[in-house]
Amino acid sequence: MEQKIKILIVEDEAIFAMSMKRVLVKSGYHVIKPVSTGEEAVEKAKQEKPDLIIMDVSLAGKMDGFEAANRIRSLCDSPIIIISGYQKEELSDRIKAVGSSIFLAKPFDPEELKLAIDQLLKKHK
Amino acid sequence: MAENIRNVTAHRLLFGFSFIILLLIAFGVISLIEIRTLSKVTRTIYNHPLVVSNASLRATTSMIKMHRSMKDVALFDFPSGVNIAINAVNEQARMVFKSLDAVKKNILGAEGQKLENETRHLFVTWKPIREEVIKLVSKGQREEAAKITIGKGADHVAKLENKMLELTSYARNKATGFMRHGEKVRSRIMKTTIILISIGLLLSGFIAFFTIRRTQTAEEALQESEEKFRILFNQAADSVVLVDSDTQALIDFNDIAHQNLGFTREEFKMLKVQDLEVVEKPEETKRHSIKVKREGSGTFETKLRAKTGKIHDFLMKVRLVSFGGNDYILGTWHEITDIKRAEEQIKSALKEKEVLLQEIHHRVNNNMQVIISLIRLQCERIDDEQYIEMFKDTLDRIKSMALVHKKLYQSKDFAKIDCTEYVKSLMKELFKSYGVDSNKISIKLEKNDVSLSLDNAVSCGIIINELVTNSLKYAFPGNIKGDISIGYSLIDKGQVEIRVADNGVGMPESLDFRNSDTLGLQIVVALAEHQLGGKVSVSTGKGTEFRIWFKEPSH
Repeated sequence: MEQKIKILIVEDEAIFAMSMKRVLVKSGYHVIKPVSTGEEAVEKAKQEKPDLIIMDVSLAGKMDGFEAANRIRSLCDSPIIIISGYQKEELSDRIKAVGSSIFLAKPFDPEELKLAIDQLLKKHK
Repeated sequence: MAENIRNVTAHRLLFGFSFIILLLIAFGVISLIEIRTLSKVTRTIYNHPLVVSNASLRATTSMIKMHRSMKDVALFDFPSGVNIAINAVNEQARMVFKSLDAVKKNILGAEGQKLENETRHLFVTWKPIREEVIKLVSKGQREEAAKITIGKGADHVAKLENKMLELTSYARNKATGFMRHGEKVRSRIMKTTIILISIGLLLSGFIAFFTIRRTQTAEEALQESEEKFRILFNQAADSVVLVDSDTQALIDFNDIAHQNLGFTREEFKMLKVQDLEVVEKPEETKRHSIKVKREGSGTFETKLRAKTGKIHDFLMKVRLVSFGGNDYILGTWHEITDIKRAEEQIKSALKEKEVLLQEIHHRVNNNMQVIISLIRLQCERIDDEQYIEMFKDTLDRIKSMALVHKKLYQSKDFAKIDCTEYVKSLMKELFKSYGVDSNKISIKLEKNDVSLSLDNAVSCGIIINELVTNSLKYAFPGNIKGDISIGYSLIDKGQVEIRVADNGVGMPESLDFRNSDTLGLQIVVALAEHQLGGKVSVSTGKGTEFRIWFKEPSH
């Protein structure tokens, strides 16, 4: 049996995190329990080694999404979907610095999220 | 003005002194001529009347001596004495001829020549009388000889003496005439000299007076001009500085230049531009000077350090100037410290505003995402397709609102939103949401330069969303193909018209859109009439066409 793709959601908006998890679980992904801080994300990434991470830029706690993503980069090479209520233009330099990533501006549809996951995984293979 | 006065003075001086030189030359020439005349007169007096007078007197003396000797001839009774007397007569006769020759040679005028001829004739005609006496003496007839001598001979001598006196008198008169002429010439020279010297002195005085006056006027004008320019220079609102283009030393400057930076005039004079410059290094300042020398002028902003260490901002306008064979850089330093500070404050305030807007936008998007997520979560718990559809419609309405915020934020003009870009994105979202096949239904967008305020854009977005959703749901049942066209235009001053039409099956004629049970149409009417304060009309037939008019304050 093919092993499910493991996804880590890092999002401080619990409702949105829950909604995303449901969409992704329905789509056949294995979603680890979402976390809301950068520190937790680094810890989870270290423990779980997810195949893909969905990372919000603004997080609860001191560490923002980019810092967490950069730290995770040194632990594993999981591709990261960066999501934010900010515009891409405002974050483009920091997005580039993360590498192996796709940016999605909020609000976005579940279809857009699924498409981004597919693209990133294909690219990362 | 001073230049003009200097030129006029120089011309006048040149003219005046040229005139004096001409006057002196004329004076010299006239004096030379008069001196020559005087010299000639003096020479003539000496050569002619005096020589003639003296010769005439000598002739008279000799003639008298001859007459005495002739008496001796008649009186001597011894032969040797007679011979001595005759020899003396002959000797004196030669002297008379010699004197008469001198008279003839020097006497002037026809009258003088005539007098000399008459005298000579009288002297020559005396000789036969003398010879007769000598003959009588040699014969021993002394008494006869004595009678002739004191008789006829004495008469002749008397005539001769008179003529000679006449000759002498003539010569003296001539001399007197020449003397008078000489006096006249001398007097004329004196007068001419006095007149010319007087004219020269007057003219020199006149020139000196006017030259001094002119020079004084020019000096005063120059002083006034210099004072005026000094006031302009010192009272200028900006710092005016003259800089050596090679060393960048501060050559001259107005009061505000050193006062502005807290230096005394003496302290400032010892400085170079690089001592004050904050932005440029000394070698950069030097290169900058070379550039200004090459290009002739320049404008730039820089910072200078005051004596207290405080940094001042300046807008510098510099220009290359040359005088006295040297190049200088003339700079006007306009202090912009306050402007720069205000600029920084504005920039900072703007940055704060941008950050705030960014944050609000981020929050709006996050909230929209949460709302959408909540609806989706709710939908998961509903099995009834009809309710699911209702939630989907609500999601589309929320997304159309979210899109307004997104476009507004992207437009960088937070007050207005561009209709074309917004409607295009809205249609893309809607078609994606309904999974519309673009080969079946196509969108025609009439592009017009219309922009809307945030409030009106949200209402219009929802209206277009409802009407296009209606068309997508009901206008093209089965496999019917068709178009949906959306247009918006500015029809009058501040009046915007939005048109949403399809060429589908059309609305049932019995449907009263104002009193329809359909939530979508109720929303359209409510937003158009209540929210926008506009009007709605619908025409059905071949398809359906909705028109909405409302006032848009941004137009």
